[in-house]
Amino acid sequence: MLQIRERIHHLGQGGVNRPAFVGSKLLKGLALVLLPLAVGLICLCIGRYPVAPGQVLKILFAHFTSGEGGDSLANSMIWNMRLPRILLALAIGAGLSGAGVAFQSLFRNPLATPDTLGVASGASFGAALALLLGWNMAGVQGLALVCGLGAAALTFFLSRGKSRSMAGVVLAGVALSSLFSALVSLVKYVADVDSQLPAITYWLMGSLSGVSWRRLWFGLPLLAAGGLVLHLLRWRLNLLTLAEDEARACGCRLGLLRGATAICASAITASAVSLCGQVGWVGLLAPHICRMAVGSDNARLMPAALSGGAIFLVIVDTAARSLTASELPISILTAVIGAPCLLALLAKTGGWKL
Amino acid sequence: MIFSVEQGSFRYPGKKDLLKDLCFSVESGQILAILGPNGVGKTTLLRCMLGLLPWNSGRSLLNGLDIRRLEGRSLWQRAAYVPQSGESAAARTVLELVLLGRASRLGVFSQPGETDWNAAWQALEQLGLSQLARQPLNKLSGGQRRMAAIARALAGEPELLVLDEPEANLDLKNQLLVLETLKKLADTGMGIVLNTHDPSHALGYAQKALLLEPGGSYTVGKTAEIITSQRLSAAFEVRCAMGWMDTVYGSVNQIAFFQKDPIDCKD
Repeated sequence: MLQIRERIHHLGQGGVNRPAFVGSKLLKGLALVLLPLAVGLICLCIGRYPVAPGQVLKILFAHFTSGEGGDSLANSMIWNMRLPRILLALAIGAGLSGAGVAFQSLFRNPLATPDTLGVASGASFGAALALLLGWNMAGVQGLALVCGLGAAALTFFLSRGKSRSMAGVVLAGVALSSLFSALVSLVKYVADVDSQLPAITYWLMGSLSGVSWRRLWFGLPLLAAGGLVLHLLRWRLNLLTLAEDEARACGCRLGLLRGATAICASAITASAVSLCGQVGWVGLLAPHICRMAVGSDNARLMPAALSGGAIFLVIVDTAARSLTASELPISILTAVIGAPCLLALLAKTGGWKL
Repeated sequence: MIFSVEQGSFRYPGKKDLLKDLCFSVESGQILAILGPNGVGKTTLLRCMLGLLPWNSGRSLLNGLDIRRLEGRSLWQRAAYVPQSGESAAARTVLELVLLGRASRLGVFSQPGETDWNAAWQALEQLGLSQLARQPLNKLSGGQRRMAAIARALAGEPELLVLDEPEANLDLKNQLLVLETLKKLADTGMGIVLNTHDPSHALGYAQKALLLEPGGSYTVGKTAEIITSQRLSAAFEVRCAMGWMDTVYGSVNQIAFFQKDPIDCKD
């Protein structure tokens, strides 16, 4: 019945049913920005020491107006501990999710993750090495960043064969990834069992605790820059999923676009690992959940994934720090919460989509 | 618009010459059909002429200008290419695919706007695909997907359309649909170059034909002069006879018959 009516409607218009152009919707875009912030604000109140929303707003307002929030316990906890941590969770969640979308388009593979180029393993090795050498947190963060970006560069350099295919890049990435994992194991093996080994192990599991404003300022710019470029390139990312000649015939400088995408996504991943260790699953899970919701057009997917990833990680991190008396490693929670979510969605929508 | 190739030669590294001193041209409103046996370099020829593969020597000219001297994007605003396997696994809709054809006219950081939207819809309407605009590509038939790929190329508003075996792997009706569409596009003034395996398609639709033979030799000219039984026999290594057939539908068509060369089937 509906079909017939549609057909009549169609014929009535003389075969022309071109819908009007609708530009990007301001309201939707605003919602994608405000929603993670609102969730972040709610998470500010939650914890083993709950603070009323009114008081949280008062403290924040005081800081923004006078730069001071008084010297109450609530103030120092909200401003110095929870706020940087929640901002970090928002940024890392958005970044890893965006990097996941970029890598999945780049490799035309729904299973690609931010670690496909060996970035996360490289960064982990850097951090483990710095912990072994007894460097301070800034040193750990710095070496992780350098090693992560180095691993990405090495992957691209090694895959510069005669015929440079994306499959070759993935293969080089997988090989480097396992090499760096082995090196991490080596570092753990030679580490001091009482002091260094627990530190390395705990760091590798990923944690957002103990983040300070200073570390945040050190790690965020690169992550934000990468995320911004990916966001601006979002429609062009679709070209990466075309056949190579077809993409070139669309006037796309394929090498340049691939390079830019890989560099941005690697920078994000390396920054994220250097700030809080390996937070698994976000880069795979958040993009797929968003893909099921908004479809696979990267122009819509990228903003949704940035926003969705931020919301997902801030919720998971809040659970990690408030569920039990001692903090839970976040990687365990992302998998425990994320995998069933994904499986449920998978069962509902019926299959992978890219 | 006139697109021409001058003395184009190409060989894959370490191999013999595949294409040697090719010279041909195609003008607005013309269809040029390229024929030849498998592996003779038909696809390579299309990729070379568009600069997707570099000629070893010789050059391609668009309106007399070497395409290598055109700024990357300005070539693709005037020429479009539909590769044979231009279908990816991505679950995008027809409209999303067709919009990608606008990439050559958009800045790196820009999103498609109203002009692009209208151009994409016009391409869809031109090919009768508007009804399928919101369908995911992987739900379509092979013929519909091929038409969508052509619509993607049209969205860039090209003057030259190059297609690699556009009618391959389609059933009879869809083959004709694609070819008739290309004919209509040529009538609007577009220059068209296509690869085909079917001599009767070349005879029925193309004003010009280029026959590639193994070993790098070729002949190019008016279709009727190129597609002859002698030349086809030599190029495809089969027996070939050609004749006219009254189709009863008001047209008399030239068709070719083939038989396996007896030298190949001694036993």
